[in-house]
Amino acid sequence: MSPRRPLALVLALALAGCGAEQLQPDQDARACSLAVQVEPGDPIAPTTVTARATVTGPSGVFTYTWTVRHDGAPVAVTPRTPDSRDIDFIATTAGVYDVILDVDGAGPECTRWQGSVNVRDPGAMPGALRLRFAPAPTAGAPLQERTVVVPGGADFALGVLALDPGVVAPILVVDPGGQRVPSYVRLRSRATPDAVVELVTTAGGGERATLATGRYDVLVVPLVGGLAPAAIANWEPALGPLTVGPGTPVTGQLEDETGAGLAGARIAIAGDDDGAPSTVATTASDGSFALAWQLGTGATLTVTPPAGSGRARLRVPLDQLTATRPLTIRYQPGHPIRDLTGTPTRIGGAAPPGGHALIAVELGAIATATDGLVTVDATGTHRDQVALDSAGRLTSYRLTAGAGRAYLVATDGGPGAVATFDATTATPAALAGATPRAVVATLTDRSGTPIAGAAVDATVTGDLAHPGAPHATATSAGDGRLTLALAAGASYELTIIDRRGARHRLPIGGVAVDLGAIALAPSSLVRGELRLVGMSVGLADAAVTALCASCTGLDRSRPLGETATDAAGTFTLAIPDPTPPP
Amino acid sequence: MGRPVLGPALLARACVALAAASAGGCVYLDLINERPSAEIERVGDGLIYRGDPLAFRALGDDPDGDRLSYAWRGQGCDRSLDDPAHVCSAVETGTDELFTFTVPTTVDGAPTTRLVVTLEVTDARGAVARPGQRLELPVANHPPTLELQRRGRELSGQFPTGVPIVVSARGADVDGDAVALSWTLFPAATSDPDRVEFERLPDPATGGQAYQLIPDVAGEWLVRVDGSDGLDPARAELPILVQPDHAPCIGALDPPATDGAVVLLTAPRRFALRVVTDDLDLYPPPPPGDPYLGAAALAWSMRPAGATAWTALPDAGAAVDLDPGLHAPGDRLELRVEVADRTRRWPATHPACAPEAASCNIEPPVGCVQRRTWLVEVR
Repeated sequence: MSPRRPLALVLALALAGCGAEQLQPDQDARACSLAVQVEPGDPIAPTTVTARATVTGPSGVFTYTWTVRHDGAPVAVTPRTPDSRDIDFIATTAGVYDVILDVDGAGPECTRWQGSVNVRDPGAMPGALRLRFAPAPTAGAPLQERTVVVPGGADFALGVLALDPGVVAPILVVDPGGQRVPSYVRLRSRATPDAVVELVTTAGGGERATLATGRYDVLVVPLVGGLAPAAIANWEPALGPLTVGPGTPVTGQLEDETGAGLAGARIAIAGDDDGAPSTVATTASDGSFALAWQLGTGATLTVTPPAGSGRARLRVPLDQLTATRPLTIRYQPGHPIRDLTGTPTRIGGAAPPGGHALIAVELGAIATATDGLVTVDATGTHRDQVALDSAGRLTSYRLTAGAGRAYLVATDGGPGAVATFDATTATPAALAGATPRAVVATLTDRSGTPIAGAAVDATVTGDLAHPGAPHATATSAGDGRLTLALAAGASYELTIIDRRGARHRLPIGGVAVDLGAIALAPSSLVRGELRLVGMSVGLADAAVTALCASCTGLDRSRPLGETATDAAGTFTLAIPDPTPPP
Repeated sequence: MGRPVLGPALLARACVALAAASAGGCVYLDLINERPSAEIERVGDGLIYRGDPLAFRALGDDPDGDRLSYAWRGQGCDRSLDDPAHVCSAVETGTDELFTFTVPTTVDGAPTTRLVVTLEVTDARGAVARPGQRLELPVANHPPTLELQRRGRELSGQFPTGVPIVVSARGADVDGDAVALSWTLFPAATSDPDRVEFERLPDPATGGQAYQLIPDVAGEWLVRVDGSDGLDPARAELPILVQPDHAPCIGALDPPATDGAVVLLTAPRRFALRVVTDDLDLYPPPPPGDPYLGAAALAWSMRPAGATAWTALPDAGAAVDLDPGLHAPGDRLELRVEVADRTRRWPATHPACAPEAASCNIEPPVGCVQRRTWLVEVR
């Protein structure tokens, strides 16, 4: 978005109901309406801002009293008209200027106008932000998102944001015969795809959901056999029940290197973002499987062998295969199983008793899949969480021969350690990781001034990330310095929460001992008020989360700032300023 | 009224005249000059307070029609003149018919309680009105006033236990007297004195005194402040209603968790607690330095498919990322979040919460739960 686009003016009609409502035919034609026009429409500091009041309805001589505040301090106003109906004020710096106009003489229903004027920083760059609003469960309104553009360089007022209260819609899933089907239903708003409504229809097949207005891409996963999950695009409640069918049968055989069937493996197809997954099949004693799938594109078939088998999980791309033909998936020879049961682990030379290890191995092509016409490679991976016994040894664990990494985690805290190992030709003697590192950094602002009191959380990322991975936390000292104990060899993301609450995200890989100075962007406050459409009071206790608009994957759900509305429905959210460093 | 008198000068002159007459000369006899009369009249009425401007008028009369002169004296005293120990202020004087006088607030540091005004009226021939006029008037005292305020984490007029409540008192006295304050705390009936903090804070810059109260139990508390300006007392009482520290409530979850309802995990996904409401301990946390509020404590745990025990996920913060790649398709795992406030009453160890309960509240109201569980199916 161009930085020149007018985006700074927010006229947040907040009190007295003045001017915010259209007159209805049966209303008194002389009812008061109070409006304020602000010029220029996109003020850039420093500038003179003109505010003009317009009272319509009643006649008479009115008294206009203006109050302008910036950062809590009063701003001088200069009358442009003898009666102060129009005024000027000088906005010397960028930010939010709160304007209050009190009118005396126009009637009790038209006494006050208040709003905010956003004055832009000429050197700032705007940035898009997703604001995610999760109303309190008692509010009954659906989760919603808005994408807003904040100008950067200064605080910003969004004014009143009217959320859709939603409508209660019946969600009915039926089979082709019209019989109700208990199902998991995920409704993804087409307007804001990250705002998802999920529910499970009851055994009777019917459920109600509160949905925001609009159309949805729906995923239906029947919870009974014989029916395939279905992706239904562009649905809205008026279109009636969601219909699921048996889908297309996908059959095949899972074999070991010798061609013998492998039993107990889970077979499933994951669709792409818009596609439906298949049902989940478990291979029979002869390795055969049959599942149901709503045919799609860009899908991947996954094979998850039974735990303890030592066989790697397979990923079979289906784009070149004809899924309607019987598939044969065979592990290729040359990839023996290694038994690592009892292998000792070490963190800095010491055993981590009772902890766990997250083992990640990328094996490349270790299997093939064919539909009888085309054969493709299937890649194998291990990402297994293995418990450690009281001596720090791996409990029962087997894996396909290969090299990988193990993230060793002790039960008594600490960052753990990353051990590299090679089980290609033999079982490793031990999985040993280095002593955790004390990693230092200095937080500063962009001018180099130390930032004290910032809370830092380091989270493991990449293939070793898992819910049990330890977090390292620290708080920057007065000189901005902080020390984190991190596992050598692991990749981390630092989440730095400054004292205003903005969350700065910084990936660090291959952790160095001294990260040097980390210059944080300034934080900006974004404030606003939430209401449900048709309600005159604010929406209390709603979660307001600022999220990245351009990220993908999990990063889309990692907040840049979060807060909750107060009893009046207002919120103030701190976010990292989108303006890049000079 | 005054009586006719002979002044010394007139008496001498009469004698001289009588002597001359006895020698055969004329006898001259001057007219006898009569004393003037005088009264003091206060202009205005009502009680007299220290610092009040007062006015007195002399009601003088001279039978001879002589011009009168006035000598006013006014002073304040610390007690009645009947008390030999009384002390009075310096004299203010006046010579006009109207005497204005401001009541001194103190006499040698003590409050003025009496006002003495005397008036001497003399005519042009030197005759002084008798008896002399003296008024001794009581000076009233404005009793002091007290203002009591409380400040703390107030919720609908009630305060939670264990959180500081600052009570400030300020005395005022229109007479300008210093107001001495004394404090008395009346704890709730079940309070343990050893667990109550009621300590004096440094005096506020705005005057008065301040105490910090940290109540240990719920109930009706009372802070009483007695004030005195040395003459009159004043009393102010501040009831403080203390409520138990309520359990926190899980607010918005993302995605929402409904007991027994499956959430599908088709791609790496974040499960987040967005809001905890509480009387004291919140999520998102309050800004640093908030004097009353703190952060809610969060505890996450997971039970993988087929497992019987829950595995704690320490230091998870407010969200846990789940990756279907760590599980088998078709697996159903449970992810649980519990919240606690500073009282650390965790559902996991609370008798009101069965381990298998997907959601749970440790105390009423039912809608305020401290545990939620997502049932996650991997695809």
